[in-house]
Amino acid sequence: MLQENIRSGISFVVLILLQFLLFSNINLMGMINPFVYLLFVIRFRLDANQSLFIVLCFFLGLFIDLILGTAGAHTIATLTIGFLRPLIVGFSFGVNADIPYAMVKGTRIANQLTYLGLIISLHSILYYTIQYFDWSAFLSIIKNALFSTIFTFILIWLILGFYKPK
Amino acid sequence: MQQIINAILKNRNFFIYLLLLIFSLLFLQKKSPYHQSTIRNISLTLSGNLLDFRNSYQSYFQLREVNKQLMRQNQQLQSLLIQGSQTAPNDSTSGPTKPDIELISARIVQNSIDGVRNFMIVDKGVENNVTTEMGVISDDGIVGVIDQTNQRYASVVSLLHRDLKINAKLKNNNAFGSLYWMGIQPNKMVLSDIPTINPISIGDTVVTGGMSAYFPKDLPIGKVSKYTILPSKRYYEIEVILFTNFSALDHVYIVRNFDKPLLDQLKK
Repeated sequence: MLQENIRSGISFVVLILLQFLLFSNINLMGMINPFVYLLFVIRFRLDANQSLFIVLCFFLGLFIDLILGTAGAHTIATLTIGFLRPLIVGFSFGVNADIPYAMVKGTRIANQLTYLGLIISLHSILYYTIQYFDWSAFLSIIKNALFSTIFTFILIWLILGFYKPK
Repeated sequence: MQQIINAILKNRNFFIYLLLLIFSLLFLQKKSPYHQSTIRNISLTLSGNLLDFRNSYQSYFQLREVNKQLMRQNQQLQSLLIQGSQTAPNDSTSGPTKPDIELISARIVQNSIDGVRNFMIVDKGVENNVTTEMGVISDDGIVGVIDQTNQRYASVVSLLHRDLKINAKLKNNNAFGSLYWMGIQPNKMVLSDIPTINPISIGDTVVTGGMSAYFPKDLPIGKVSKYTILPSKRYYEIEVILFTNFSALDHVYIVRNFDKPLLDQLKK
């Protein structure tokens, strides 16, 4: 358990740093960057204390925001994803929702894809909605959210492939 | 209290989320000028709409009071207007004189426009100094003449009554004629007996002539919409569109002419 916590802590810090130093400088098509720090949300234990998880998500978004200077968009998006994660897990895994980790061998690939897709796409939509904060930019929000979802999804899938949890 | 705490504890994730969300929104609002102005704009719209809503229903409940107030004001203004038009500019020598006209505001409680001899009933009677043969006017023009009265109500012969003839004139050239209703459309009357030596054009205003004691002179009646010259070539027959919408009358004023008894005396 202690080892688990330490690993979570390290990944928390490392992901923020990676996001800042690497992934936020890609600027695909001008402004599309993958939100790889979502790996923390995706890989965090499903059976952990939900209240703690929400607070952690909040701080994750807050640090990203503070470092990238994006006001509160990451905070709100990540916080909301953290709050909604039990629902997403329930929806994606159905009766098998009481597993300790989402992305492990043994769960069906379709369930994993749903889980991943939902978290990333919801986060992107929220993020760009808050960034634009203007209904007349609806098409831009959808377009950006779509591209960033695809980009993030591919990257996270690749990283998870390299780093398979036991 | 215990139950409230239990409920909060049960939904603690939601409350944590809500708290942190509010914090993030504050953060967002604080950090980004764009969001700050947008959020301020949203709050302005919200409070504006709410205030609008509040005002609209508050004013709805005040309508009765406002109506009364407006009626009083209108009454004063109308009488001032009428008195002003009655006083020729050169007879202002005698200083302030006793007003010769008073308006009594009234509400129509019953009104008909579908007969050939139409009457109305107004909610003022002898109690309010209303007597027979007083003129009745509205904000737009003349309405009729008081026919019968009792303590609290009075019946009015509507302009839309075939037997009523009103003394009227063309505003442009003061040519007199008499106005009556043909009994067909509730917004059209006929002005006859205007000699053809007077020029006339469509759109000319028709006002009261002031020859009768019912109405003060120069009260608006309607507009010329059509005219023909009678076969005798001596008089016009003029169709007049009324200013008063008889189907939507609500408030009227009864004209009390203080000089009327004197005039009646002379006529006898």
